[in-house]
Amino acid sequence: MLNVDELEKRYLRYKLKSFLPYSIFFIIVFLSAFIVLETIYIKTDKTEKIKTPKKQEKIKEIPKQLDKKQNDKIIIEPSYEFIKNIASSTNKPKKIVKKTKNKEVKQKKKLIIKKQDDKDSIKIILKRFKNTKSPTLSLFLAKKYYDLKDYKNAYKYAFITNDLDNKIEESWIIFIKSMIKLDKKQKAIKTLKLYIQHSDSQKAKKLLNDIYTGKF
Amino acid sequence: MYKQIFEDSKEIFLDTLRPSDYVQLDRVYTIYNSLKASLDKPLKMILLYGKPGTGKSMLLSKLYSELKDTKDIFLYQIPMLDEDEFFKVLARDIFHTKDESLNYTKFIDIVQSSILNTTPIILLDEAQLYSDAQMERIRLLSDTRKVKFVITLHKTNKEDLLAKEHFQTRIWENIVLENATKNELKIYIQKKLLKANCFDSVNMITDKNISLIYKLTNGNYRDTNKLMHTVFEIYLQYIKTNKKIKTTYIPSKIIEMSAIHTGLIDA
Repeated sequence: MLNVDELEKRYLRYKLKSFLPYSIFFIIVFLSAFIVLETIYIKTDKTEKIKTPKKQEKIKEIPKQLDKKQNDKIIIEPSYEFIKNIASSTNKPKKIVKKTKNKEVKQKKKLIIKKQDDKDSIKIILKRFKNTKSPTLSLFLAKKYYDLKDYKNAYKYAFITNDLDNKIEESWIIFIKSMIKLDKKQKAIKTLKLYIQHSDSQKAKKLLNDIYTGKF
Repeated sequence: MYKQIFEDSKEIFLDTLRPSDYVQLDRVYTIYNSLKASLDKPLKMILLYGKPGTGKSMLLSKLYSELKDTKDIFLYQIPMLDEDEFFKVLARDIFHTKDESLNYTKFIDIVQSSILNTTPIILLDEAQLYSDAQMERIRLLSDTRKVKFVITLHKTNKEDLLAKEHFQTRIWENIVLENATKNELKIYIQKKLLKANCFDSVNMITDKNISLIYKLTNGNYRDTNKLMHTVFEIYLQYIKTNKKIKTTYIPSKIIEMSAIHTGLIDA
């Protein structure tokens, strides 16, 4: 008599046995494939992690380099322009404009500084002059005001200087020049002639000659 | 309904040597005709050999069944290992001599002195079980040309050697039986079932089933019979225990279970 239940059990055991080598093989293959893929993934991930910042850095660096290159180009430009200029002189005025503009800016800046300095220094010198009544300081003020085209104050402080010390040639020259600027030409010539008679100053003579000839 | 179908199908595959169970396949039919023709030739001995389960015994049984009424033919399916007994039986069957003191010498005298219209044909199955001395006496008997032997041997190295040593000069016909091919096995199973009108069982057997059966049995008829017999036995058991089982086709599981039961699968 055939026992089907027992036979089914034997069949199941047989199937398990027969599938066992295949299942082991597939598990090994699967595991090895998984390990290989995992290692590849880790390697690629690491390399990506290492590579990506470099790329970013490179990307970041590129604009810098471009900027540098652009800067270089700007720097190089003049020489390029120079070559161009050899061919045609049309670009020359631009260059000159650029250069002159720069120079003007520089000069303006310098002037502003000077003005600021002059004003400050005049204030300081005025205080000192009030305290000391030194002809040197008054002459300095006369000269400063003359340079600043403040001929009235220049005349004033030149007069004060001549009053304090009538032998200072430079003070008399500024005094006469200021008079002329203040439209007192005849009085200035008369005063100058008187000064030349007393001092025999060459500068005064030359100034008189310039006034007559129209150079001043 | 299915119970009866499976009962009938099971019975078909009982491993018997009934000539009625013989299934005629093209290749086997050719061999059979060749063997039958060889009997009419002046041969001393015909050797029919092949692996166990290739149909040697069935072929011998079929030959006997077909020729017993027309020829002086004697079939001995079970080897008679006692030598004196063997010759006593031959003397009784062929020469109708009942001598209790008969031995080989006396028997050979009877054979040589006998005057028969036709040469008696002695069919010896499982001849590999006979001793070497007994086989030598069979050889000497065939040399008298008074009797003709058709013997079957299992095809092994030892038996090949036996065939060469004892029968090399005497065998005129050497017929080899092989296992069935897959297609032959399919025809064999189908023809067996159709013989018993088991049409439902025939329809259940698919090409996949045949492939599996062939894989398990290697085309061996005896193993196939055992396997199929158990397949239908399992079906009957399932029906008895009211277990669900496919009846439109034979599941591979049932065939493999059968193979486990019959020892074709070592589980």
